[in-house]
Amino acid sequence: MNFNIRKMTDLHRLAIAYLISIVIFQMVFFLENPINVIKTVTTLFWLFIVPGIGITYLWKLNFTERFVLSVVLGSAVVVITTYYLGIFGVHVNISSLVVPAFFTLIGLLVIFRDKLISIVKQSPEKT
Amino acid sequence: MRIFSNERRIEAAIIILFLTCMLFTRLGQQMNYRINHDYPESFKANDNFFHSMIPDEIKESGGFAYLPTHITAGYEDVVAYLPPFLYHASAMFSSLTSVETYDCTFIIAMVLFCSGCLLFYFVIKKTDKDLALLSLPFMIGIFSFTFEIAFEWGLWLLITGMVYLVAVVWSMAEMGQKYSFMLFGVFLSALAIAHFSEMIFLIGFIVFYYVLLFFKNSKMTKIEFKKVLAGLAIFFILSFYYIIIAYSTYAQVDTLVFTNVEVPNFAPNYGVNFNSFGFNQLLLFVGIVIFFGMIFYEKEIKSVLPEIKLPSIAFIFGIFMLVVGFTNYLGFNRAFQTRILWPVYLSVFMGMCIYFSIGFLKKWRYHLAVIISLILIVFFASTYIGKVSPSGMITKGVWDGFTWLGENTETNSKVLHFYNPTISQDLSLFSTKRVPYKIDIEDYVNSLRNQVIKNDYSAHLVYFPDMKLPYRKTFFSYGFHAYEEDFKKMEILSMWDMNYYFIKFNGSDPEPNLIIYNAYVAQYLINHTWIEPVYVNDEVVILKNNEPGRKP
Repeated sequence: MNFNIRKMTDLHRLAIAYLISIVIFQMVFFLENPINVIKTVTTLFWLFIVPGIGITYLWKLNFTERFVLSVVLGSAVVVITTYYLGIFGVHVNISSLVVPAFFTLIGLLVIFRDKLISIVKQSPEKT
Repeated sequence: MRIFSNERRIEAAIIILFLTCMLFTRLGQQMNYRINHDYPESFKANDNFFHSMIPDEIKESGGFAYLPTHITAGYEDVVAYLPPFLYHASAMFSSLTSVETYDCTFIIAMVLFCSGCLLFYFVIKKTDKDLALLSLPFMIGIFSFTFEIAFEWGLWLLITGMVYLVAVVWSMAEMGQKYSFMLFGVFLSALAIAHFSEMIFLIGFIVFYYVLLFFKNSKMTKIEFKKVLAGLAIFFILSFYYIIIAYSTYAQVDTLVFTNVEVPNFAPNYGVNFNSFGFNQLLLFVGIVIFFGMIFYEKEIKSVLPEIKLPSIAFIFGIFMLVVGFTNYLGFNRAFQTRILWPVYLSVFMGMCIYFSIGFLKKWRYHLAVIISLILIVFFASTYIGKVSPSGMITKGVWDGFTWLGENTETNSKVLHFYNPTISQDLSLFSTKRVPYKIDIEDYVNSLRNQVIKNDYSAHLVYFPDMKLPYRKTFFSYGFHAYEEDFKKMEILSMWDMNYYFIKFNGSDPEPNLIIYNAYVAQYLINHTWIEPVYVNDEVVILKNNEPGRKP
C-alpha cells in the first residue's frame, strides 16, 4: 500500500487531478458557465472516481494507472449496485447519493485496513 | 536531457494532452462547446435519441425493471432487456446535476471511452513503455468519418462495451496480483450489462488467450486459471439476473445475432475497412507483419529489443479483435461495430511500426517516443477540428412539441406523427413519451403529388422491435408480445383512431412542399368538430381527437 497518511501524496495528486479535470472540461466547453463545469466534474468524481480509487489500493499501481482504473472500477461497482437496487425499488435519485458514499467508505476501509487490523489485534490484549 | 528525467510527469503530461484533444475534437465540437442545451441540437440518428430517452425514463421511474410503455406499444410487462449500464450512469449523473439526459449521456460515454483508451495504453505499457507512448495517439482514431459514426450517431452502448472489454483484458494482464480475480469478475459483470455482444467476443478471447498461454507455460496457466474461475464465480453471482434476461431474449430472437451481413445494417455506406485508416494502414500492415515476425523470431527480436516483454496480451488481443472484425462473414453481424473501434484495438500495431523503426536508437528511443507521441496527438486532433457540425436533425419547435406531449397528455395516448424530418429516424418519436404512430410516408407523398387530401391515412405503430417485446411468464420462461394476435391488430390503424396528431406546418425543412401539405391536412382535421388544436408554436401544431374511432 503506497498511501502515506502523513504526507497524503496520493490525496494531493487526486486534488490536482480534480483541478486539471476542471481546466480540461472548461477548455472543451469554453462557452459554458464555469459553475456548471465545476458541477459536472465534481459529479463525475463523486459517481465514478471517489468510489473506485479507495478500492484500487488493494493493488500495487502508480497513481496515473490507479486514477484511470478508478474511473472504470468506480463506475462498474456503482452502476451494478444501482441497477439491482433499482430492480428492488430503490429510486436512482437516492442510490446516486448513497451508493457512491458506500463504496467510498469501503475504499477508506481498504486504505486503512492495515491500521484497522492492528487495532483489532491489539484490543483483546488490552482487555 | 533533464526535461525527460521524470518519466511519470512526462507520462501524465501526454495523457492530459491526449484527454484534452480527444474531448475537444469529439465531445466539445459536437456539443458546440456547451454542456447545457435547450434541446438536443446535435442529434443526427436514432440511437442518439433512444440512448438519452431511456435514462430520462429511469430518472422518472427510479429503476429499469421494465421498458417504458410508449416504446412497447403500451404493454406494461416488457422486461428491460437492454444493457442498462450507460442508461443508469446517465440517469444518476442527470439526477445529481440537473443536466438533461440528452446532454449528459454523451459526456459519460466519452469520459468512459477515454478511460478505456488509457486502460489499453496501460495494457500496452506492460509490453513496453515506449511502445505504449507511440500507440496512444492512434487511439484518437480520427482517420475518416467511418470511425466517427459511433460518436456522432450515438452508438454509445458499443463504446461502453469497449471500455469494459478492455478493462477485463487489463485485469487479465494483472492476474499475477493478489485479489486480481475480483477485478476480473466485476469488470466482466459490468461488461455483461454494458453491451452483450462484446461479452460474447470476450469469452472467445479468454479461451483463445489461455489456450495460447497453456502451450507457452502450463504451470503458470494453472495458477491463473484458478483465479479466472474465481472471477467467473463473482461474475455469475453479480450478473445472474441479467444473464437470464439476456439468454431469454437475445439468444431466443435471432434477428440481431447469427445473421450474415455484407455491409453494416446500421450504416450501409459507412462500413470500416482498411482503407478507412488512410495512410495509417501502411503502419498497420507493417506492425502486423512485425508481430508475426516476433512470433517466429522471438530470440532475435529479444536480442535487438531486450526490454520488450513477450508474449504480450496487447498484441494477442489486437489480433483477436482484428479477426473478430471479419466474423461478419461467419455470421456475427455485430462484427462491423467492432471495426469502428479498431483504432483502439489495433493502435498497438501502428505504434509497433514506429517503435521498431526507432528501436535501434537505444539511448534516444524514449525521448523520440515522447516527442513523436506529442506531435501525433496534436496532428491527429488538428486534422479534425472544424469538421464536426453541431447541428442535428431536430429543431427547437419540434422538440418543444415533443416535450409538451410528454407533460400534458395521458399516458399511453396514441400520437400520429405526420411528416417531419425526425420520422425518418423513428426512435426519436419515443422522446414524446407517448405511443407513437407515423404516417405511411410513401402514401403521403403520393397524395401530395396527386394534390388530394385523403379521407384517411394509415397510421403505422412505432415500437422498439429488436427482441419482439419479451415478457416474463416465469423466471426462466418468456413470451413475446410481437408474435401475438392482439399486437398485430395494433400495428396499422386508421388515423381516426389516434388521440393526438403532431403536425409540423412551418419552419425550414428539406422538404418544404410536404410542410405546406401538412398545413392543409391540419386545416382539414380542424374542420371536424371533435378535433381541436391544443398546442401550437412557430413550427408545430398538436391536435386532440376527442372521439377516437369516430370517422367523418
